Amino acid sequence: MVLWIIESSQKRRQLIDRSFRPCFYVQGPERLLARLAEALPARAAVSCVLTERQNIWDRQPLRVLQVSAHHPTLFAPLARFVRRFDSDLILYDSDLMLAPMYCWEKNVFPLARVDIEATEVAPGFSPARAALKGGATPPETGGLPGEIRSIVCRDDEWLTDYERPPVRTMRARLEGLSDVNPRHGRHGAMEVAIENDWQVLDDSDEPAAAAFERLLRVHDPDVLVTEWGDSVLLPGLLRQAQRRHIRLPLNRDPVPVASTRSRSYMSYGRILFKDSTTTLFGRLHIDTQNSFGADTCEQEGLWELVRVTKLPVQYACRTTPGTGISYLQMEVAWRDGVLIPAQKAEPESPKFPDELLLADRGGLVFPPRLGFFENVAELDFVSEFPSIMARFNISPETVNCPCCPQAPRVPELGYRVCQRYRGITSRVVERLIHKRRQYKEMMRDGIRDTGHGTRDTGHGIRDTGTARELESGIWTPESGIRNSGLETGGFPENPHLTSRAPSPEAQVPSPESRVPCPASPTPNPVSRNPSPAACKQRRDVLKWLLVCCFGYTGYKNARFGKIEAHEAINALAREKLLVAKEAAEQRGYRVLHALVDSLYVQKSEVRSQEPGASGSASRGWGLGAGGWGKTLPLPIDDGRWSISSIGNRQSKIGNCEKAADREIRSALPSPAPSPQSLAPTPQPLAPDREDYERLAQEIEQLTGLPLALEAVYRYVVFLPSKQSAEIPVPNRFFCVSDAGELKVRGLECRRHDTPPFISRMQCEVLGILAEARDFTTYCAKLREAREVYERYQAQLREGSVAPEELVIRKRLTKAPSSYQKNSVTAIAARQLDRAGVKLRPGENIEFIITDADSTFIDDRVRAWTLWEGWRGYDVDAYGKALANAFEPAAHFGKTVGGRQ
Amino acid sequence: MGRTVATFRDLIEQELQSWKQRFGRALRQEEQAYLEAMFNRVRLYVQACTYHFPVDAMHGIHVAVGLDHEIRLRKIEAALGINLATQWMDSRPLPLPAGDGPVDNRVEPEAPPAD
Repeated sequence: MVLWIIESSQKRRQLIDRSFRPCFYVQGPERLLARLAEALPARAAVSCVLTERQNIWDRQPLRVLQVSAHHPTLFAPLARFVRRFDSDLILYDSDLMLAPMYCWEKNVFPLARVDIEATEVAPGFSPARAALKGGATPPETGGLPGEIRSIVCRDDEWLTDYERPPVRTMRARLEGLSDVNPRHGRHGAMEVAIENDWQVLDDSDEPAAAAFERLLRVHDPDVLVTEWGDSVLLPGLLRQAQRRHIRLPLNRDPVPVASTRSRSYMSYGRILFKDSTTTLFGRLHIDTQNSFGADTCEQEGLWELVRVTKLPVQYACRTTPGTGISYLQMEVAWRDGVLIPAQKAEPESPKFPDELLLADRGGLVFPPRLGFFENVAELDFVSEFPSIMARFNISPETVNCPCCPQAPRVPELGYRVCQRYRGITSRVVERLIHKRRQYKEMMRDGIRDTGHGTRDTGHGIRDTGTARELESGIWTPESGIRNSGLETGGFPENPHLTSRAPSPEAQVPSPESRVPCPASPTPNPVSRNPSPAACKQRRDVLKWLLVCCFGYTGYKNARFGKIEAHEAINALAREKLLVAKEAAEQRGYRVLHALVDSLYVQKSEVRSQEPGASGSASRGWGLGAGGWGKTLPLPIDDGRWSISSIGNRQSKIGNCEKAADREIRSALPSPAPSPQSLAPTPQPLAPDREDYERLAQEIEQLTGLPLALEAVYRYVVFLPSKQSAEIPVPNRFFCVSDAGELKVRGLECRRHDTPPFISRMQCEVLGILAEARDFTTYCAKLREAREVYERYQAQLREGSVAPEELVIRKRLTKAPSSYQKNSVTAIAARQLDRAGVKLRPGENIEFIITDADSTFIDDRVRAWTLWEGWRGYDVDAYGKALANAFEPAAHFGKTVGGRQ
Repeated sequence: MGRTVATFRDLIEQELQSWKQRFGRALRQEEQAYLEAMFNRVRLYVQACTYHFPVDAMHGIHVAVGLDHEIRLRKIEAALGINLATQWMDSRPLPLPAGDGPVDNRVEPEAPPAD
């Protein structure tokens, strides 16, 4: 295994570790295993030994043959040989990536701070090259120069205040619009930057490849951050270098540059395109246009992803978070001594049709009440699905396990959840949730170290603890977690979850070879608190990992996937949302909207003093249908509804404040009685943040899941479907928080296919409306916003809009020749196709509408890279788009304008 | 794996298309828009249908339509300040409409009314 390290003296060194012997396991009839154990050593440098490992699904020991490759390059060929040796053999751990396996074995991770003891190396000597020339066997004494004798991690992947590696970065891009694929025909010269000092490499003085080679040689960057480097930039440079006989060593290691082909694939009914990749050795190449992590979470997010998942940087930035979460799960399994199946082998359990109808459902979505609503609070379950997995021990191997026939049942579905073993997925997500929460606290408190020490959880991976663990229901060996199942109804006591220490059976002995991380790691000698922006990027990447973790439980190819686990999580989420809704309604709140894990509630303006007559005039100008009138009280208290027991408990909770709250209040000076407080009943109770926070706390206690008051909004505008003005849609609204922050969902400015000009207008309009505090000021601001809209329309008519502001981006769903109708996307795709651009399904293309109503089809739109100035743009089409983008702002302003 | 069962939103659309084919064809043109509006309003209660998820989607749609009518009726009562329940108890016959039917005698709205 070749490692590149940055010494404390900033010197870069290549080292080689020959002690790494990756192994996989083979299960099958004993006679076959014996034959295999004889056949393998005769063919390659390999050790075979019979051993026992656990099966993931029933935790029973399995007798398997452990095959250890003496050289990492033998690992994949050996696995292929065994697969062909006999079809009765089942392989485990055989298709894992070597880099994460090395990290697991050595307890290190990419970009970690390490202490290494290695043999001396002469300047210019490459251990990797020597190893390639000299073969796999090291000399008997001393070892080769640059060989690692020992490696000790001085870092912790679960730390939040770690030091970022001191890497030298070089940036490269092409002139022009960065989002437009240069392969589509229009790009400028290459630009390269060291420390934000951009210089243009055109071919006028010397070839760009030669100039690039000189820059590489002079600056020797560790990281190469490019735009379109994977598919255009680096392959183009290499082609030019080859053509002009220029030596261009993009790699530091003496091996050729690695590349993969592009491909189109289907995911969730959509066709997606994965561009080709160009990865380097000894240097990191990140293409921001072909990288999920680097694009959405930037480099801070990428470093976090790499540290946590232990995936190689270049691989991590080009893959989905799902792969990251799979490797996190596999690490836990590997440390437990559990066999990792090469392919998913857990099919869906047989179900009756009615069971399938019950089970195959997602989260609950309450369509919003349409209209303009003031003083609305958004209550969010924090990482709800992962929290359910962590709290209720939902993991593929714990749902309907064979070891617990009397285990607690999941509501609605009746699935059992294991009480003996802590699930692999549950353990993974609890760490991620915890780290994400630490970043949230750091963001909230500014740049501040949370100061939580680390401790060993006994599973080989360190965890950190906070006082909030118990509150949030996150399992720890010290605290255990309360089982809120009984409180919420339908989910009985789970002894495993309630115990303060895991039962003896739960403590799976680690295999001797899998030494856990040191119990008290040496603290990072140089720690640096991340900025709030960095915390946000790191939080974002952890969020994506958590989101994928839930999704992967139902993914057909996920190694640790089991659809029953997916269904159980959904069932619990539905249950919790209903409990939250009922609790809010019982306290006189109106649920305007609920979306799987969040509720939009509005407090009644006047609370009636009469018992049972909750809810009255709410502050909203809604067009909502089907609201419960105050003449029809909910039959909650008659005992027929299952919620009645919850209601009784709630009254207790409602009457007793939390001790902490009492303490805080006693410390505060008592406010002077206001004129309102002396007024006779009914009292106008101004809905305030404290009320909503209390509600959030009460729901949190009832559901057992962490619930946060995300924001209190001055107003929320829930908009109807574009097709039908009276039908609400879950994701089309905008709201303004009490701090003046705008939240927009489903409008044009959030869509990827909206031209920047339209998005800009809508953002500007919403920005003006965000200054409003209530409906009256909203209507006043709307007049101001309309002026902005008219100004944009005028610009459009004058023809003074920059063409790149009108570019529309669409994803191709099929090959250009396969389109049957003359949609704008099809026309633009055909134009590019005719121009010689090879387009694949899933790729994005850009175009401008030139004359939408033209009888000559090709004149209707023009692909952006083929557009010429004389073609202009279609003023009417873009004018309509502007009007459509302004409509959401004016929708309820028009309807109830008479109220002003 | 993945979703095998159609969502209730999809089922509402499927049922609407199925009912529009024959039932809707035999309706008068001015009545057809109301059929679609009636099915569309089921979407307001889609979360309850999803949660209950009857084997036959029409069962859920029937209850949702009935519930919607009940709610709107109560709102009309509240708006007009009347209680129809007391009128049902009145032994006197209800006044007959002047024309052939309520639809014919009214000016047709451009779109089904929202409440």
